[in-house]
Amino acid sequence: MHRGLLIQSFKMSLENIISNKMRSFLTMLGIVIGVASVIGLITIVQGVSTTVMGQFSDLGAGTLTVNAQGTYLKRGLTDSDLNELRQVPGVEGISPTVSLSTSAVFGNTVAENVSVEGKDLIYFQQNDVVYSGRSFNTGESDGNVMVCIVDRKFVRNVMNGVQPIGNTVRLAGYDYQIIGVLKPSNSLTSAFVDTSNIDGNVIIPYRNALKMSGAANVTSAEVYVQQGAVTADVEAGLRTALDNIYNEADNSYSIFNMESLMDTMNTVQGMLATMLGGIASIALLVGGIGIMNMMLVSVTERTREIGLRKALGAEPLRIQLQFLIESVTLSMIGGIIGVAFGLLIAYIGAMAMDAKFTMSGEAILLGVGFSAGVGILFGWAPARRASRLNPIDALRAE
Amino acid sequence: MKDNPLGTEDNPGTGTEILRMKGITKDYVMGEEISHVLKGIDLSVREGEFLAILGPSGSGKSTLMNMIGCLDTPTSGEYYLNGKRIADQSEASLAHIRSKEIGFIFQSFYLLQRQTAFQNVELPLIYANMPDRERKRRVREVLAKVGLADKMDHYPNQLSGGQQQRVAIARAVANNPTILLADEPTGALDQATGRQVMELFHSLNDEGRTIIMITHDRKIAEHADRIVSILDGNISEGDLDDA
Repeated sequence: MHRGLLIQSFKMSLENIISNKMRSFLTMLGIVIGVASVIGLITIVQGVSTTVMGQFSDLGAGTLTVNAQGTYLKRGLTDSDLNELRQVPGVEGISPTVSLSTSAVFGNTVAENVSVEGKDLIYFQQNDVVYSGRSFNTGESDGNVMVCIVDRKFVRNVMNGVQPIGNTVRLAGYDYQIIGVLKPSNSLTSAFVDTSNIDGNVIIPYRNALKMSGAANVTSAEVYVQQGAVTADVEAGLRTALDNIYNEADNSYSIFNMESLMDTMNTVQGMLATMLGGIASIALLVGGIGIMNMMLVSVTERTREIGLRKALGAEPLRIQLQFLIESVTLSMIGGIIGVAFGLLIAYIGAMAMDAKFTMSGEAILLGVGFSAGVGILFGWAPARRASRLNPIDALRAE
Repeated sequence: MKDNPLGTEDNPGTGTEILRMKGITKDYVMGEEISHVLKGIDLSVREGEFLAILGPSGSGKSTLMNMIGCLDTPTSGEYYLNGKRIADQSEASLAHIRSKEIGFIFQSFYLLQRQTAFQNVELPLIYANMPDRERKRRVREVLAKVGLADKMDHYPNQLSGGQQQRVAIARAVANNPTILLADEPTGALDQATGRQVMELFHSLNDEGRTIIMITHDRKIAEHADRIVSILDGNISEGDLDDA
C-alpha cells in the first residue's frame, strides 16, 4: 500500500476523531478502562509475586532443607552422617540447624523466651545476615567457644538498647560474648509466624546449641547447592545417602526443596495473572463493542460523504482502510492512555501493599497490542460496510 | 453550434469521440415490478463539446447521469468512455475510471463541511495518488482559476453558495478529467450566481474541456452548444419543444 495513502487516511481519521470530541472521548473511555484494568492487574500481580519470590529467595533459594528425625534405633544425624551428606555431588556445604528456646539474662533483665538457633560457619557464608560486628570464625564454629550474634529485638528487649557488641549475655546459664548484630529480617517467616511473644533471636555455634538442647544429634540441616548444580539431582543424591544412613526406613527423613515451592508459586502466579487478565479483558471487550457501535453510527452518518468520496475516485479498499484506521487510531489512543492509567494504578497499589512496582515492557506491549487488535476486530465490520455502500444510494442519502 | 446534428461521421471537426453509448437500458426491479428507466439510449459525445441533457424529473436523466459517471452499470447496451468499455468492471476499476475520466459537479455542491476549500479540492487528487508537491500546486492553480485564490483556507460554511459551487467545480477539474459531469449545477443558486457559474462553464469549455450538464431548466440548457432531450427513458437530439 502506498505510504502517502496511509498517512492521508491517518490524517483524515484524526480529523474525524477530533471533530467528534465528546463521542470519541466516551468511546475511548471503554478502551481506557479495559486496558487500564488489564495492565493494572497484571502489573500488580507481577509486583506482588516478585516481592513474595524475593522473600522466598531470602529464605533460601538454591537451598535444600533436610529434616531427619531418624528412627528409634538411630536418631538424627551424627557428624559422620553429615560428612557423608557433604560428599554428595553438587553439595556446596551443609549447615546443621538447631533451634531451641531458652532464657537470657543481661544485667537486671531476665528474658524467659529467647529463640536460639545453632548455626555453622557456612550459614554466614551463604546468607548475608550480619548487620554489624562479625560472624563466627573457624575455631568458634568448630569448638565450644561461647560467642553469639543477636538481633535488634534482643538488643531492644533484653539489653534495653545498650550497645551489644563486646558485651556479655547469659544464655541458659552460660556467659556468651556478643560479636555481631543481625540485619532486620524481612523474610516470610516473620509474616507467617507470630513472633510477638519472643523476646529476641540469638545465633550461637551449633555444637553449643546442641549441648544446650540436650540432644545428641542434629535433626535438621540446610544443604547449600553448588552454583550450576541441578537442585533436583542434588536432592536425589541426598535421598540415596539418607536411605543408606537409615536403612531405607520409612518416614525417617524429609527434604524440603525451596525451588520446587517457588516453581509452584510461579505456576500459581501465572494462573492468577491469566485469570485476572481474563476478567479484565471483559472490560476490553465491552470497550471494543463501544468502538464498533461508534464506527457503525459514524458510517451511517457519513453515508453521503462515503458516496461522494467514491464519486471522487476512492476505491472500496481505501474507504475500508480509512474507517479501519479510524477505529484503530481511536482504540490505540485509548490503549496508550489506558496503559498509563494502568501503570499508575499498579504503582499506587504496589505502594499500598508494600510490594515491588515493576514496569513490565510486556504489559505495555500487551496493552497497546490488545487495543490495536480490538480496533481492527471491531472496526472491521463497520469499515467493510462503508466500503460496500453503493455510491448512488450513498449520494442520495439524507 | 447548438443546432449541430449528432452525426459523428459528417462533423469530425468537433473533435474525437470520447463517449459512446449504444442501446443502453437500465431496469430496476421493485418487488415484482420491473421498471424500465432507460429504454435504449444512443449517445455520442465528442471532445470539447458542451452538451446539455434536458429532461423533466422522472425522465431517467439522473440514472443516465449515474451511467455516464460510471456510478452505475447498464442492464444492457454498450458504453465506451475514452476507449474503455464500461461494463463488467470491478468496483475498484470503476473507481479508477471515475478518478481519471469524470469530474462530478452536484446540485448541492457536496463539499465536506469539516474540510477547507483547499482540502476539498485536494481530495480527488489524493485518491488519484498524485505526489504531494504537485498536488498542492495543482489545488492552488485550479482554485485560482475559479477565482477563489484568497478563499483557500475557508470552510464551506464561510463561503456563499456560488463560491461553494466554484470550489466544487475546482474539485471537479482538479484531476483533469475527460468529462465534466454536472447535475443541475445551478439548481441551488439564485439567477445571478447561476449565471456566473454558467460563465465559468463557458470559459472552461473554451479551453477545450468537455462538459455534460444534466438539467430540467431549458434556460440553463441553452447555455450548451448542443442539447439532447430525455423523456421516459428515451433520448432524442435537440430540445423537444423546439420542434
